[in-house]
Amino acid sequence: MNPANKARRLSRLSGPKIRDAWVLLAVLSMCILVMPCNVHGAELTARQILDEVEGTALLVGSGSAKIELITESKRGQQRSNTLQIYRKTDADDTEKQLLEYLQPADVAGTKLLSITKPDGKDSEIWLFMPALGKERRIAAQEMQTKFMGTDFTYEEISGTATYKEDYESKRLDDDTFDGHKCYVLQLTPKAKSEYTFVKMWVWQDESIPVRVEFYGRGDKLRKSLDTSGWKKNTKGKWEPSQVVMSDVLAGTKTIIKIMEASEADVPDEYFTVRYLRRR
Amino acid sequence: MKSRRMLRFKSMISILICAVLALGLSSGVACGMELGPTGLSLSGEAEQTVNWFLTEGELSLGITRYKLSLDQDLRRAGAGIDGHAHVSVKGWYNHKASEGKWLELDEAYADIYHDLFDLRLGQQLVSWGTAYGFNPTSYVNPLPSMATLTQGGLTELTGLPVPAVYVSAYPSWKHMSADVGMVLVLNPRLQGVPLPEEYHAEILGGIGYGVQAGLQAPGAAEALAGAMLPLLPPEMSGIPGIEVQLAESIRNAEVRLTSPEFSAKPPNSFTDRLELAGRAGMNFGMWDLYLSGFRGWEDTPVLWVETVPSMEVVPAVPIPQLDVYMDIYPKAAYRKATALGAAASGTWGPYTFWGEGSYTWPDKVKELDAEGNIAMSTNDPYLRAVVGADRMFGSASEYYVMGQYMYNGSGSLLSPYRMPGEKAKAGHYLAAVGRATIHDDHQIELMNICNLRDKSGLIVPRYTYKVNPMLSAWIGTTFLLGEEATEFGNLSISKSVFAGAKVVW
Repeated sequence: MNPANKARRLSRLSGPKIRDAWVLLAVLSMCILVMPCNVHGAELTARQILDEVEGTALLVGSGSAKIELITESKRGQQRSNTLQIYRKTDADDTEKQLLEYLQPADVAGTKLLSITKPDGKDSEIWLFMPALGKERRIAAQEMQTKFMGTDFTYEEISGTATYKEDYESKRLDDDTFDGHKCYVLQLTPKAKSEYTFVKMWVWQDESIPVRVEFYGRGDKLRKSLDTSGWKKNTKGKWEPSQVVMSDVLAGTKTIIKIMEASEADVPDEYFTVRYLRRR
Repeated sequence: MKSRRMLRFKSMISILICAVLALGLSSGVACGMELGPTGLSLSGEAEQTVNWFLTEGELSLGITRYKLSLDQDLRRAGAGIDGHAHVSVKGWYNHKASEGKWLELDEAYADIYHDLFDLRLGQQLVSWGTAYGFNPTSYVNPLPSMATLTQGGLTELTGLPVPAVYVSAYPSWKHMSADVGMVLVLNPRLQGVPLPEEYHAEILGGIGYGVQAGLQAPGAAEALAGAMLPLLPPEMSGIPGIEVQLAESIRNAEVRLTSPEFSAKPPNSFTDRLELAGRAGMNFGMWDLYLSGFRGWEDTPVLWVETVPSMEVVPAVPIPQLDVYMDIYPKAAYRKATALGAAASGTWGPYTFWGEGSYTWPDKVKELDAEGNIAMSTNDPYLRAVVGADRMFGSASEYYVMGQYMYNGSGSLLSPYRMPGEKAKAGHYLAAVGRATIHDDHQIELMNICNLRDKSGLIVPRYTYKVNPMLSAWIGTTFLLGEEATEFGNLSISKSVFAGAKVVW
């Protein structure tokens, strides 16, 4: 399933308290756990580089992560939320996700459960509010341009797969970014988009996108996405410890810090109303 | 003077406790704190409100509240079982009413998670139902007061915890699963008469006035005299014209109040106090359906007044003088009831819908129907129901709207009683909430609840600023809709500006 579609469905539950979690999931699916690969830079075309970059999305199958999500206003004022995320994909492609707010205190214990069928219909979403001691069903919401009021759009969180399908790619001169030798790709949308083009820096050694720039009307830089603190996990997969989306025009930032990540199987019982009710 | 000093002292102490909790414990703590290696977690909150009563022009401290909670994962603590333990204590002080509780147990329970069932044992809240605030199928925990609605609490109402055993199981077969829960309440939290003390006297005074007026009605005194005549001493009953004199004495009878208030005794025996509630739910596509039942005590007592005529004979010539008295006995009693209910919630497009209702058969209290008694409660069964919908919208779901219709077959939401002689009328209410959140820090909320029958209501706008993740502050006011002699118009807090601050850590 297209990650953007997933995100759209998930975002329905939102509400300001919980929206950030979906941003995280989307970004994780875009950036994390990219498989290392061996590429031979000089001969590769832009399309081939994108193929390599696609890798494996975050938490496909089963896994969990603990993250800190920080939104920063134009004045530099930051708001931080810490979340625990569990995810699982069943054999029939039904996707289950559970988010639990750990901090701050006013939302701690709030849980969000979503079960998304492969056809995208009849997605079920529950929100558990500890103050009320019970769960509530949450309705779907119309797709919005801006993803839950953060610095991400649905297009951006749709991941590289969308770039492959929806953009024409062109390889530019190689560059060095953050000490890494990088391929530089220019991606031009095939259909109407709010961006005129996107530039992507791909770390040559590991085929990891370390920076993405989004240009708008007049070819002005509008936003940038930076990943940093890349390290290999116990399974040899690369994980960034931080993802930052900066809205250059608005002067705002969304920062995601991955505190822990695991691909260990999550028990089915986590994705039940019963588990939501447990403390 | 001494008592005033004492009140001021109590008031200061409560604020100090609140301040210590808010400032001392919250420093550097974003969300609770772990104590020791077992992961014992301590968290808390403190709140202070201020009210400015517009009609009285009086600015006063509102209520100081504070709460401390301890949580422990049982397996981490070495208990050898999956589970959780929770204890919370709280205190509050109402500065205007000069009353409060320094410290009381809030919730205290242990959860045990077994493969086949989950068990919660201890003082707890059992939150059933799908609606906001008004939950006809949430039988177990009484609500503290609907007056909290006036400060925008419609979506935050929670009941008072009770000692109980709650067993829940989640059987499943094929692609279907059910949610079954049984609650045994060991000691129901029966509430007193939910009326201010001055209302007791006002009601009883009104009844006294009504009795006196009733005796002046044509034929009323004569009828009563006919009934009382056999009670006269034999030597008097034969006196010519005595019945006429008795009727005249009855018209001039003195009405005497035997007690200034209604008070009810709770049931004594342990077994008699027990309550049982059950619920079974299933998921049907995008909808959840729950059926439930309850056998237990109503939260508040039924009220009635007994009027007993008495007579004193004063020897006089040519015929003795008769002094008649009408003694008023205010009576109150708790009663048991049986209720069946259903609740559903589901989604359709961007909307969430819910509906919930229960039908209650109270045990009959024969005094309510006894001739000569003045009853403020009835033995009639009643229906309570609610339907509503909400949705979020905006580019970041920052806007929220909710509407809910409430039907209360037993009458008013604010009082379960009707005035003597008043015809029993079901209550129809409409509640609406609109909320906008800007950058997570600023929240503007507009809450409205109105009584569709007497066209009264309240509009409560409230602005909340989240200073940081732990501290929020708010200011709001209440506007009265309709006349003052209406249900909401009678609330003293209905014309006030309120402000407050809360620290959560």
